[in-house]
Amino acid sequence: MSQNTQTSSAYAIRVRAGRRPYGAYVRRRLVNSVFVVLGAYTLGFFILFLLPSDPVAIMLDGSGSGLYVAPEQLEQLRERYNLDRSVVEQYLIQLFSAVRGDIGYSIQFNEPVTDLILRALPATLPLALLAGFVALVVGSAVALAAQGARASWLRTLFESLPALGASVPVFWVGLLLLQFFAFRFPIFPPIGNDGWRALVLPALALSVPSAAAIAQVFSASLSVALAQPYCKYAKAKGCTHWQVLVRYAAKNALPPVIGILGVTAGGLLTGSVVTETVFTREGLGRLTENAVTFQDIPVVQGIVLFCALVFVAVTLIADLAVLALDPRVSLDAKGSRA
Amino acid sequence: MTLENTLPTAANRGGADIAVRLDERDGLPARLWRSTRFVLPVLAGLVVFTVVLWALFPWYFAPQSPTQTFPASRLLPPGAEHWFGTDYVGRDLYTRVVHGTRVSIGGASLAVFIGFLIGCLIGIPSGYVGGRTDEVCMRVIDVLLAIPSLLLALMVVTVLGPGTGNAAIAVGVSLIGTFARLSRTEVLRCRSEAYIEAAYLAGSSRFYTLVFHVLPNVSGTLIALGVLEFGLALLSLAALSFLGYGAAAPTPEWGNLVAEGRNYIAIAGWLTILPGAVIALLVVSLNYLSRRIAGRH
Repeated sequence: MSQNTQTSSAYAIRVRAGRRPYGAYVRRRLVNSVFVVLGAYTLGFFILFLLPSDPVAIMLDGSGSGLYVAPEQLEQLRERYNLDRSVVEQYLIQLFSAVRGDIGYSIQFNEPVTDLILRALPATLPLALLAGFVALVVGSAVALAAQGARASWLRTLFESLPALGASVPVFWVGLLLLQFFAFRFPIFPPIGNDGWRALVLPALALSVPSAAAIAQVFSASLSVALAQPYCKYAKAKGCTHWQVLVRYAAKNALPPVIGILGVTAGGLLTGSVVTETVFTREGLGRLTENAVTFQDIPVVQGIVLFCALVFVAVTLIADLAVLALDPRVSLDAKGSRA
Repeated sequence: MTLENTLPTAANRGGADIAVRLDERDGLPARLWRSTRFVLPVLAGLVVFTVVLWALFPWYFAPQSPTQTFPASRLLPPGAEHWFGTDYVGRDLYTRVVHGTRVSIGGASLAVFIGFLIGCLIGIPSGYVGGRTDEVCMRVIDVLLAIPSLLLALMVVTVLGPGTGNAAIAVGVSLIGTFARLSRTEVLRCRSEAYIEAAYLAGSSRFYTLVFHVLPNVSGTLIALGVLEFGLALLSLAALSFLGYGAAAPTPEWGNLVAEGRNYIAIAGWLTILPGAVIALLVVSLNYLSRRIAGRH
């Protein structure tokens, strides 16, 4: 996330607002993003390939066939996955093919991992987007209600809702929704991928933790903004509490919320593992679950790489948006946030 | 995710003082609500205490066998005889929840222990030494936080395979990033305080200062985070176990109890609602207590 905020030097030369060195900032952030993706890939490689286990054995054992495999065949398999080479060689070979867009073949389906992920996405993307939208709307509404309510008991109620949302298991929420809105009152279908009706319940379940996180962050930053002099001034001029909140505080309290969008996106993508299992949907989550169960290492690594890419891209866009929208953020000559 | 955001900040706490000043003008709902300030910590403490007792002495609270089946009394709804009802082979669900406590709590403890230890080993030197060390550690933390925690846990499960211990290790690995970041921030904040400078002036060595001045001052926040993370570890562990990567079947564990009940959701809702509610209640209580520890109000 925005690690640059903490490393700014006290001796940095402030550049006047309006002449901010965007180029240097964007370059720095791009380099940083590439590093994070590379780091995630490397971490994935080391966890998945370097731990004392034989991927070929896992591969044959994981498929549950229990077949006898001739030693020559084992050798062939090892050669095919470059397992007969040294670790560094393996890592470099994989890294270079990954840079070219080839992240390997699924052991289970014998198909390129990229194809598998691209085929799963059309089912998961609408789910994640709808859940993200619901999370944004509900999360912001709860935060505004918590800061807008005058009665202290109402305020405490809204302030404790996010903590509640962050504490309930997602699969449990999903099963409760299923029980009430698919079985007791059959409004929505309990399983499947067909149409928008099948999307509603999974999206609601998936949105709960993200909504809770957004509400927590927004509520905290709203309360900071409300204590600022400009809000007191607006109030002194005769604005009502809600007018101050919506017109002045909300706008200034947005950057921290935009700052957690990357984490939210990653959470929504991986949250689909649980949600899609509960609602028996096909998609990225099911692909992940399947790959983990059958120890399909290239697929797991491909998904890790994909999630890291999404996280980095969303975080980068969000940070640039904050920079463009928020005149309070200034940059020093080297392009780090001051 | 954004866990340290859930701890109350100084700005949040300001609101409580104002609320206290307005107290005299409040009506009945407000007065009822205010009484919860004293009742809720006790209730949350009771929930945690009960669960700890369940984990320590399961046979005292549920003397029946958690795995013996009674086909004659299958799928009975909750009642006086079976508090939580019975499952599809007639096992008492309350018994299974009580006997599953030790596995779930033990797993979450192991996970928090791993995350806390390794996280602090990265975060504290990073914040205290600073410079090049800090740069390197920060990059590692960035990478750890860029991978969603459930995915990180699933990666470890892929290699280690399913099982209670493995799932706990996996969740522990997924907690490292958060602990590392918060311990670094806390040490960094503490290092710039005047009393640390005073300690140096008094002739205290860097290491002595770290152990006797810095660590005691950051431990409060870290313990509050530990309690909060314990709840989240419990949730992640339950999710892994729900997906089938935890304890193997007949052994009861909170997550796989919900997963077993899933097949009977249309006819026996209690099989999923009640074990899930126990998880939710415990995590809510831990979350609440953690905020009270952090906020000290």
